[in-house]
Amino acid sequence: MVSAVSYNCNNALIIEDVNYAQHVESVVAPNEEGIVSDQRNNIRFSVLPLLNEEFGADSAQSVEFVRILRNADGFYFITANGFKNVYVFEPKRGELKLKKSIQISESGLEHPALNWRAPYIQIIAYNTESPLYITEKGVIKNQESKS
Amino acid sequence: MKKLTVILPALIMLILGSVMAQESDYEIVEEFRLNTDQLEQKIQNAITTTQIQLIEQELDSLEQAFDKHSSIINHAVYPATYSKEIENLRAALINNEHRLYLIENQREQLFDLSNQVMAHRAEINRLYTQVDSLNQEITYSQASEARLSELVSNYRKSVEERDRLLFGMIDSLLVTHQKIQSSTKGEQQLSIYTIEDRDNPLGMIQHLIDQNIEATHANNAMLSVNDHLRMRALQVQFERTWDQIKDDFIAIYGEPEEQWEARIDTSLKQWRMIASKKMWQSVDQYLAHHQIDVDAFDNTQSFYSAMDTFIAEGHELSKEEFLVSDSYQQFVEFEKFWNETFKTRWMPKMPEGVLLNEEQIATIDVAITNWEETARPIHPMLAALLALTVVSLTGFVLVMFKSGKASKKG
Repeated sequence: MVSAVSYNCNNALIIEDVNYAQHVESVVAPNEEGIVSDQRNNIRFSVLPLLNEEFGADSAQSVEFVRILRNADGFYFITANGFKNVYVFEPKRGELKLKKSIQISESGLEHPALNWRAPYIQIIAYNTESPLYITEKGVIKNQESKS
Repeated sequence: MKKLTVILPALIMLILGSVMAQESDYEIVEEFRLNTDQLEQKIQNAITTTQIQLIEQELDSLEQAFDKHSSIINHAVYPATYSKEIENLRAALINNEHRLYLIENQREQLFDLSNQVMAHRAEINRLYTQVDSLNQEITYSQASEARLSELVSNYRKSVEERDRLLFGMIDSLLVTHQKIQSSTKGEQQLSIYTIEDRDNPLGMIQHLIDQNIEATHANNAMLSVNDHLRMRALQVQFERTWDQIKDDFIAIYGEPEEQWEARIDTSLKQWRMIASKKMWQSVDQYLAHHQIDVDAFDNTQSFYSAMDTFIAEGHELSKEEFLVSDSYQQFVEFEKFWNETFKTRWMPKMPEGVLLNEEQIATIDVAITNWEETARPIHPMLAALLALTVVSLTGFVLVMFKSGKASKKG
């Protein structure tokens, strides 16, 4: 068994080729304070900044469920019903830092779902003609290569 | 049923088809969970092997539909696996099928039981009729004494035969019930069956109790204390058997349950009261006939008190007697009743505790032994010897006194 191990300049042990991929998305309902808590994958955060970003700070609009999926590189892909975007977050110490927001629909996604199709995230929704494939960098143009 | 066999799997496929079209892994997993939960529930709720067979088809369809998603499901249901989930459902299905086969077999045995009750009922009814007509014939008979004696003898034989059949029926009810219980250890699903379009065994049991209440009420001076004891023993045995079988019988045949239970329990209580009253009356009459004059009694406790008081009074009387033994005859009569009749003839026929319990009998035994020691008269030879000794001693004292006096003078 060959493992990818290296040492950085401080001679610290680094394990490489770690796969963070979550195979099935988490669908979690925010509580009254807007906190989503995914027990299975051990992540808990507030959805309010996302709602502000998506619907504007003045909007009282909420979402019933938040859909979360993590790719192999460890980025979190988050969206919800009515969102125009899929938000890509990079986990940092005690925070999720927005890496990219990928616009999928101008009118807002209807019943979106995230699937793990290694090495991409597949997004489907009632109002998208065909599944889209995304990474933390954005939508992948060449869809044939993913099927 | 055939239609259902075709429609159910088709419906499942349709639902699953719509889910698959969405291609959401999460929905696939959720749908799988929902379907397996529903199937699990159906397996638990199934009450016939036919239903189990239909569920098995649904499980086949489920497996067919989700097999290609096993990898996704494995991730979602970890630490379980897709194949383990299916395997568990199949195991539950087989277990329940086995259980239902047992229950169906049990149901057949219950039908047998029902048939037994029916068969006994017919015979017992015949004997009730015979007893009634003999009783009427005796009441209105102007025939000769010999004919009357024959009628009374036939009457008592019929009553005895009827009771013997009832004992037999109670035994077979219990034996069949125990057989059912042992064939389904841990299976408590009897209540899932209801018997339709048949005579209800609970109705028959109720009818038998009513007949017995009437018969016990109607019995007359022609019956001996033994007949009354037997009828009381029958009632006790019936009641004890009923206590053992009633939960299952009511669960299967009783609709509405509370009504049947209350009706039969009330009737049994009535039967118990009448049979007990008649039994104690006949015992009282027996004692009076044998000049054993005891206090009044109408239950176990008061009978025990009456016996105890009778012995205590007899004992006291014996203590007061000296050289005479009038109370000894009373002791002999009582002791004969106690050992030869009560303990030898009556007790073995009666269920424990119906006449007296073992502790009460032991206490009476001790009291009788003590009484006997006091009551036993002194033998005439012994009395004569005693008198002779007293006379001799007096004579000796007198002689000694006189000779002492003479020597003083001299």
